[in-house]
Amino acid sequence: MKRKITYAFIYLFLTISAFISVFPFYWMVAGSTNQSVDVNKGKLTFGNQFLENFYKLSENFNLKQVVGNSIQVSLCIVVFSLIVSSMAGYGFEVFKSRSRKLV
Amino acid sequence: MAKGSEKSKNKWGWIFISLATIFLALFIFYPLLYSLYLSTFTTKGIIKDFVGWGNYKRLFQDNYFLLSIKNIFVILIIQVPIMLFLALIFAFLLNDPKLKLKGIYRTALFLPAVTSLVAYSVVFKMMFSTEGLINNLLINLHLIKEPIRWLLDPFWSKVTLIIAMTWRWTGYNMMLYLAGLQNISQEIYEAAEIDGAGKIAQFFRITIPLLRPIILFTTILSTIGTLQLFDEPMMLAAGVTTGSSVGPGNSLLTPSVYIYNVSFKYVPNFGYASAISYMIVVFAVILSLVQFRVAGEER
Repeated sequence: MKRKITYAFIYLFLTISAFISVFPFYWMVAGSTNQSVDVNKGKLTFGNQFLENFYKLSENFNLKQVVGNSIQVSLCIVVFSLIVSSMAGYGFEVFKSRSRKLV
Repeated sequence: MAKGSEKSKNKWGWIFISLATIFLALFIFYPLLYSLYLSTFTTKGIIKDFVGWGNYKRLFQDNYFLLSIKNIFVILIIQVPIMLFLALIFAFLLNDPKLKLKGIYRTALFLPAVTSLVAYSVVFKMMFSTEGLINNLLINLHLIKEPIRWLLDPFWSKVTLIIAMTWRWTGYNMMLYLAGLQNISQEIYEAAEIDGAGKIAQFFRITIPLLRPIILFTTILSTIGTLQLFDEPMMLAAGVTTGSSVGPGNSLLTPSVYIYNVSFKYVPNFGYASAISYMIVVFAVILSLVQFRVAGEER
């Protein structure tokens, strides 16, 4: 019996914590469908402003370029760091030498 | 002959690691040394004047710098223990093999750690606005009568920052602890349970002592991370107050933000900014050494 109460408390605690963790994500999605005035007032429900907001976003920013920049940078970083670090890793592992201990 | 092939082997080894070494030297060692050299100059744009220890002497009379150090230590002392303790509790509870829905809880608690620093700061800024969500909620629950001026009050803006940082980083530390708990055999817990130890006793008597090295690791990691805190105060302070005050009454001014202001916002003085950076390094080293000492004591 005592154990059941303990577990009830654990589940309650974890559920509340998980809710707090996830809530801002829900709120972000809900906020994308509301006017910014409502978002600032803490409106919780979904609105009907999603398309409007999206239009405003693509009017103010060149979305294609923004996303393109991100993809370009991340692709370059992945390829380049893979080359550099796998070369270094191979060099260290295959060619053992005394000076290796320095690093 | 054997010697010759050894040599050519070594040559290839050097070629393979040369690229990484060059980048390391170019982008880590050179900036490190150059900023040390630069910290003995005072600069205005491209004009440089040698001052020797002058920048470091100036630091201790600079009220903004002292304030930023004070701010960061308040945040450090309050936020890091809360966050690490919460993370430990979560990790301990989620390590229980009898618990159901573990995967869901784990994912939900780790989810904040994947958000971008700027994005979550903006979301928290909106949630904690004076007429915002959190105030509405607290008023509806009759916990407070008047809205708290979260971001407009020096005290509450720090509280907001601490809440936001705890939300973002607890899951990350929880994952480190969970990884550490994999090395603690479940048999110890089972034995403790048979002996009649409750959850709380298990937590304090088994989990904390056995996780000591990982707790030390996360403490040092969080300390260094907090000393370099930049994105969150920058975003939470943006647009709230006028002028160059970072947060109400400079309550969110951290050393990193101050470095940014000195190098880019005021008349650029990279020499002085380098001196501040080196002071942060000194603090990080001192704090890490202290933590090593404290944690290694009872070995």
